[in-house]
Amino acid sequence: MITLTDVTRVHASAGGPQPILNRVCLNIGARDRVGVIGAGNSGKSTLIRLIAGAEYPDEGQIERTGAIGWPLGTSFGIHPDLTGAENVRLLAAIAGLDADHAVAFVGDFAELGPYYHRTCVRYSPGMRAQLAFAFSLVGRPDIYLADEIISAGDAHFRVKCEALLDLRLDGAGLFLVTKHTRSLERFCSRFFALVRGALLECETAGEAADLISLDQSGGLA
Amino acid sequence: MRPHTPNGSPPLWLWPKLEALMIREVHVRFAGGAGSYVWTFASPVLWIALLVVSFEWLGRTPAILVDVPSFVASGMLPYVIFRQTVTAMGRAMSAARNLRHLGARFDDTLLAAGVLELLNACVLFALIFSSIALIWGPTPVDAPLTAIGAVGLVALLGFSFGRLAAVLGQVSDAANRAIPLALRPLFWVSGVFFVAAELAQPMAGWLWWNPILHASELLRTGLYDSYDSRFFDLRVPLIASLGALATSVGVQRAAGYNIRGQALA
Repeated sequence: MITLTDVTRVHASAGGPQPILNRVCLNIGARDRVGVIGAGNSGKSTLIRLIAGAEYPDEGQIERTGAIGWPLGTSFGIHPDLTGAENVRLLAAIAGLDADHAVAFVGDFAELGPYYHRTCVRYSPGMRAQLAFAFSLVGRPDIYLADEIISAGDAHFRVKCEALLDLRLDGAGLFLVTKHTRSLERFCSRFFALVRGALLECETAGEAADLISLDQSGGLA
Repeated sequence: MRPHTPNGSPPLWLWPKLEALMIREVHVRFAGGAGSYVWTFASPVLWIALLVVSFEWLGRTPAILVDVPSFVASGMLPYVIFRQTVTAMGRAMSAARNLRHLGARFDDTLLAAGVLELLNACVLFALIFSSIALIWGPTPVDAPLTAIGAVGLVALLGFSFGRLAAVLGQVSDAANRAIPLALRPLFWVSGVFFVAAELAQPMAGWLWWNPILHASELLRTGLYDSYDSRFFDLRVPLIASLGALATSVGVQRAAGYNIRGQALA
């Protein structure tokens, strides 16, 4: 369960403090599938970082109960001079996951073959994304977080990622921020538009996307 | 499988998390090849060798009755341990900023870097004094616990000032650039090639404020039966450490965020 109460976040900029999120209120239940659509630089990633606990709000409160995941497919922290397996072992230990299980799971899921035991500096961007996405599915949080990325790799691997995510979401919630309606429609049941720092709840993903378009065209008062 | 996630991330004192952060830090240093980590130990050894040659060349003898390599090593080690700890803790913050989403907090990273540097200090201490004993013959240690206490004291100083430097480096790019420059003069004023008893006033009065010189005096008192420092005052390094720690916590709380907008918690 995640509860945001009057959350405000301001970023410093050359022109003075710039409000990114303005008194945002939101409840995400353990099995809710919440999707937020917003334009570029509208504060979507800030919202994810706040919920993940990597940033704190300037005003308001965020309460988290249960286990919250880290953004799916995040490749931050993968060290190029370590092998894929070594990276997974270390990152799992840092995150408090069973390292042996993590190494076995990612080795099986990521389809890297012998490259899993080679240094990541030899990986293509796609292989790196597959490793990162597989690692983000090792844990079993109560609520998954996703910042745009909902799958990785080629078409075959993307289908595999989405299938496993579907299975995991049978017993967990999802908080997804994105610019695209497709993933919102595919994975979410509650929809929001992030407009000028405010979260506006909508009936459908299309309605949320229309609000964003309207704001960008200057039609939203 | 334990269903842990960042919120369920274990406390740092549980060994696997601390170990993982330290191993990762070692690999970050390996980035330029194994030589870049070996340099951690080779650099002080080379400095000591250079100073020993300089002593011989200038015909200078130590102010206490010990051989030149041992004298130089006992002065160099506190300075090196302090400087390497301060530098490593600042660097660790940059290297580990991408691990925050996994539950590696600011203090986790700093503690892991500090413990790693303490282990490095122990290795360096053993390496240098066993090498000296092998080449020039063993020198009996007068008070081993005092010598170990001196290493612990300088590690505490390194950790406290390293934490302060890391926090300042996170909130200000100017501080990040200034800290390495500020550390350079310490080489000349930390007892690397002199003991406090040699100092005349007012220099002795000025250098009394240097906590590393006190740690160096304590180390020499512990190592050599021919030296018992009257200069050493435990209050100076302890108060300096506590002051640096308190200031770092104050700056951390007041700033709230680093220059990349990440929470300093």
